[in-house]
Amino acid sequence: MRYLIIGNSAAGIFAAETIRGLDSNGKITMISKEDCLPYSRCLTSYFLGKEISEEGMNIRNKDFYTQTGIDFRGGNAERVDSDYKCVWLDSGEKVGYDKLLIATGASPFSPPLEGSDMKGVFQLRTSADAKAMAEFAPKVKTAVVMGAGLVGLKGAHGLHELGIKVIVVGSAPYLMRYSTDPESSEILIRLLENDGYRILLNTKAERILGERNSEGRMAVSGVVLNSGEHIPCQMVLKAIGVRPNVQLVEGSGVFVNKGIVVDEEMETHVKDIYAAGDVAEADDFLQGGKSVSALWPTATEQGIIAGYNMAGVKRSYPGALALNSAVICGVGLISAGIMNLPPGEGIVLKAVEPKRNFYRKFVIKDGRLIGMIMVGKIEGAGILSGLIRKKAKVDLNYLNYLLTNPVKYQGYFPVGKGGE
Amino acid sequence: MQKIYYQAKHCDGCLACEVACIEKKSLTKSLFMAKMEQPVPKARISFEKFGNHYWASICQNCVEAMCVGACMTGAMQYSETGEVVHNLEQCVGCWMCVMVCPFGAVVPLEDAKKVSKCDLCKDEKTPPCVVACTRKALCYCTPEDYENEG
Amino acid sequence: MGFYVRPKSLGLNSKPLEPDDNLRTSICCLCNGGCGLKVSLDHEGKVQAVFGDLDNPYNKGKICAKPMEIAQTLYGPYRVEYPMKKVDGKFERITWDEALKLIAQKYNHYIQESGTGSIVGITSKIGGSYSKLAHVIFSKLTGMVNYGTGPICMESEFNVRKEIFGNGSSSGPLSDVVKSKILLIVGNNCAQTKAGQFHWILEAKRQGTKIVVIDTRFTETAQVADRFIQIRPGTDGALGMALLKFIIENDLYDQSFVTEHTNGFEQLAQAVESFSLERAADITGVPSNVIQELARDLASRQPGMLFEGRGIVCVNNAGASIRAFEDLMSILGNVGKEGAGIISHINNYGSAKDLIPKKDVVKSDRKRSAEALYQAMEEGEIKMLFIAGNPCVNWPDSRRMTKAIQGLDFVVSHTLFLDDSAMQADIVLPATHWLEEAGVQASVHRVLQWKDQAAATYAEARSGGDLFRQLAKHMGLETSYFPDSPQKAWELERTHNKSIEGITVERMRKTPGGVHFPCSEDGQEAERLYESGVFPTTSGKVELARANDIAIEYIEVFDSPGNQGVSREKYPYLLSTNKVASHYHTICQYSNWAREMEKQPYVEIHPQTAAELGVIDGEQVRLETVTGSLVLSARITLSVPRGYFSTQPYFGLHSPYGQTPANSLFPVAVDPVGGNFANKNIMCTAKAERGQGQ
Repeated sequence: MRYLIIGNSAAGIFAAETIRGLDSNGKITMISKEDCLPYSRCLTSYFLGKEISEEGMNIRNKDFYTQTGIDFRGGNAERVDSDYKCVWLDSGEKVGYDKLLIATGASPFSPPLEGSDMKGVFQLRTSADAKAMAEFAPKVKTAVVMGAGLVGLKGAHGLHELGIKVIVVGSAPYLMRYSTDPESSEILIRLLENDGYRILLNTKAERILGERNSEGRMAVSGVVLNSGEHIPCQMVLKAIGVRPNVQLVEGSGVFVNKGIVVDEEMETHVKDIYAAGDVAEADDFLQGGKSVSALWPTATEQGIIAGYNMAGVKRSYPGALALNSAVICGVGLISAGIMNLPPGEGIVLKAVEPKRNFYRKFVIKDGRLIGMIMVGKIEGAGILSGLIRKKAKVDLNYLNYLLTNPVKYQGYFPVGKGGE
Repeated sequence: MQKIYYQAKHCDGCLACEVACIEKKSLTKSLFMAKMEQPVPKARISFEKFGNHYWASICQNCVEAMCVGACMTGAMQYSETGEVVHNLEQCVGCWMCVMVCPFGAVVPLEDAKKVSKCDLCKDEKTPPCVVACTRKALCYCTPEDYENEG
Repeated sequence: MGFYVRPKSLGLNSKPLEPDDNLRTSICCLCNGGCGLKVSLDHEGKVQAVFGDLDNPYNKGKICAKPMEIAQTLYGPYRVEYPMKKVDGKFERITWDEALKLIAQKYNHYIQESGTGSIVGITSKIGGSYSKLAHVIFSKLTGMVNYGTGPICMESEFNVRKEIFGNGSSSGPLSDVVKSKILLIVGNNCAQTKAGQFHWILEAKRQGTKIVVIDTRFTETAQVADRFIQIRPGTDGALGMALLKFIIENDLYDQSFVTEHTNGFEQLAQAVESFSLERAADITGVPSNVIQELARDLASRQPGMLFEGRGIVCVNNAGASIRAFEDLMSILGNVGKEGAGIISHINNYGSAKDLIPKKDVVKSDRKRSAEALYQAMEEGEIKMLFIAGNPCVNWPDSRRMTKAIQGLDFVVSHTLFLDDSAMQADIVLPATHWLEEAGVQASVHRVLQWKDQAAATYAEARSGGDLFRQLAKHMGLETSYFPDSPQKAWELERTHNKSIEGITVERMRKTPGGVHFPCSEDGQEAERLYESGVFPTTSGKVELARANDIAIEYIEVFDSPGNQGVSREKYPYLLSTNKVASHYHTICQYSNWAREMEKQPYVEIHPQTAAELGVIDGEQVRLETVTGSLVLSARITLSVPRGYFSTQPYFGLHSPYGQTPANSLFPVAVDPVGGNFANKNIMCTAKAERGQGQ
């Protein structure tokens, strides 16, 4: 059996490992345009902030490919030919497969903005991005981070660690809007502002200003906001969002919506072609339908499921559950599921102690936990996210108890299956 | 591979397991000094009582561990014998494993910006928590033995 | 910690007391605590019960198990009733006259044949002040060299303190703790070992004195402490030095006291230079923040007192630890003030001078350290031994000691019981118990208290005072130097010792709780020493550094005598003996009550160590050191640290227990600075002893 995996990040690596565990003889080929050891994109901001070394970003050691018997090739996959079961590289090379996994991930995306081509405008996705930023950073006194999502805040943290004054500009009314709610966001804003960040919400950047530098290139000198304010700065980090890298499958017959649409076995509409990770549009766990989720744990889980099915062991994917963990100024935030329900729906339990940076919120609908946020004491968060996965009926008294007490065990809830 | 199993029916909530773990994980290796250490060492097993239920959460060394999938640094991995091992060097304290472990068995060490979990005290003949458990609610055995003996 | 509660069954088989309207007052002579006792006698004058004396201002009616046990031990089957002579391995009754004649004859013979140095005394239990004085006079007349309690109990403490302050005894009374702001208890389980006086510490705690206990074990004393600091065995010196360094560096010491009253501060500062908090934390296992907190507490809470125990004295690196803590108290200025000072059960009030004219004094022709005594006995250099004590149980390497004694030509034992050492003797003489003898007893409060004879003399027992006078007579020595009663003995001693000149029997009788010493002729008693700021050292100042300019030298426990060169792979653990109240002296093993309370001797083991060995509670464990092995039953407890074994000393083969003495496991090793034998922190190994059963 010939397995071909495009992409060597979370989904690709975990799929490869799963396949190798099930099929020790199969030939696994892995192709990535980043010709390096598998590393974690989530750690690029840590590298930027000099909290870890470049090697520290690697998620597997240098012997990984040889130990697992993976034929790794650096190269850019250009086109999938599903009829002949092969993938064409831009070098003109052709790689055949019996099972193909597309794990090409996503790329940063931002709406067109004047001045985006100037020196000093960055995005933070790959290790190359991080290195470029780190190299440029010594010249920077002030940086504007566009986007108040997780990537934006992590990038902001990295820059802050380097002693740069950071201004975060977000268009949403609160921070990390997919993983927080207004109350928790408030705690985070206070923490960040106390640490010297400037946070501007409900705000957009209109244009990036520049001036010609000594090399004759236009370099960032400031940002103009829609409020009319002009912020002088030497660096802009664009962290608005990401888009799946679907170019590879164009014309191959694979159905693409927002991402590559897959069924519960992570297989696309074309037989023997699978997709997983940030590029895939898979079942959503709570809301039904399909969605693209750009989260590390989701990617690895999808990679594992894809790996099983590719190796011939049927496993179905329960659906992607939104899970987020962030550490803001040393305070942990973990959220899961649906955090914000329309007014009037479900039950919401909350405990707030802003002074201790403590916040907990549980969202219950139809007697089941469907979402939670924990700020501050985050021990045992997995127990609650596990409860969401179980779709078990929950005891409100116990949840009430957990609002202020350490979360230690999910076993006290009646272990009822969904629908009971 | 041997694991630590917990049987609530034998447990009387004496917390000796937590205490033994704290002693083992302390820098001073002293039961009495551990609580005065800074940072205070945390037990890798945590006991909970709600109503008349008892429960001790400890790493189950899952065959398909959520923490290994969620770990964005590669610090959580499987050992050759199948245990889930945590490499403290690589850990950056992102709390992803804390977020997903359904047993609540990953312990965040906030001061060190790392996590930790039960490592089965491989340097010991028997893990201290199991030794401390006089009611045999904790046992250290292979999954097969556990299945056979209940 | 449920294992730590000691059984408290008392008097299951006691018979009803006979009415005794006339309770005798006495003072307990067992641990130098000096507790007041009330003794109830039966119609024969035998002790039938012992109570605490409510009128005694020091113990206020509180006593521990030891004196209560006397009622049983004194009249049990092991008590020696009459002089005996060993004939063909069996003891036969003889008269006192025959015995004395034989001893005198042998004594004179060995002096002539092999010199005075061929006769030694091991005399840790010689008796009360009367017997002690007679023994001193006898030794001066004959040149007998004696080994007392010193090497097995407090030699290091005495010597080091004498170097520092010029006087080895306690500088303040225990009763002062209620006036102190902090009490530092180091290696001392006084709840067990000074039980009758422990209420002072509890009272101090109630009044707000901060009680800090530094110990390897979580003892009964530690349980009542405000702060318990568990320290790795044998590392107290490092902790003391780190405290010194922190206090010196942060200028927290009493600068005027240091300038005016001490020498060697520079050397001290230099010696502790390398003991940073972090290093000390590494060595001792005490977190650096705890050390720092203690240092600040000691500096801010003044006055403060120090109470050291056998935990840092009877160890192989005692010198450094004792000096570190006593220097610490000195630089903090905790000397010579109310509520300040060093508490100890060492109550040396000086010795009587010029008791006999110079012409009659015989000097021994050989002197040996306690350590060298073994070899001298083994090599036949010593011919005759006079025992008043039980060295076959309470001296280290007891098997070697027993064998050495067996090899001697002539052994006399003056003893209460037919114990392990008496069994090796050629002549056994019955001794009086201290309740059967009047005399003076010193106490931990630095007082001298008089006690009259309470119980009737048992059978043919004679006190040391009578024995030595009569022996001298048989030997043809001048007997006029000897006093013939306890009262006369004290009068003689008082008039030949300046420090107790003012303390007459009359005055002690009249003063409740006794009289503090020193007390000169004109009658001013001194409750605490050094209040004048003058120290009896040559310089008149506190000597913070040793004579060789190195203030303190820390020796790691594994490199200390007895452990040096011993393989850590083979002997990975540490073994200590620690006393409990009911089994304090070897005498306690003859009491049924003690037996009810403590059952068998046992060894305390940390649960994890027990798991390593595969031992469960109550099972038999074989402990082994370089000098041998013995089997004890395991008691699993968290009160001891991992890899550390603690058992009780002073059980013998010739007792109801039939137990190999724990001291058999301790090599003959002395603290290089102070000269104490180590009976703690000796490397050992252990294994489960199967198939032996309970």
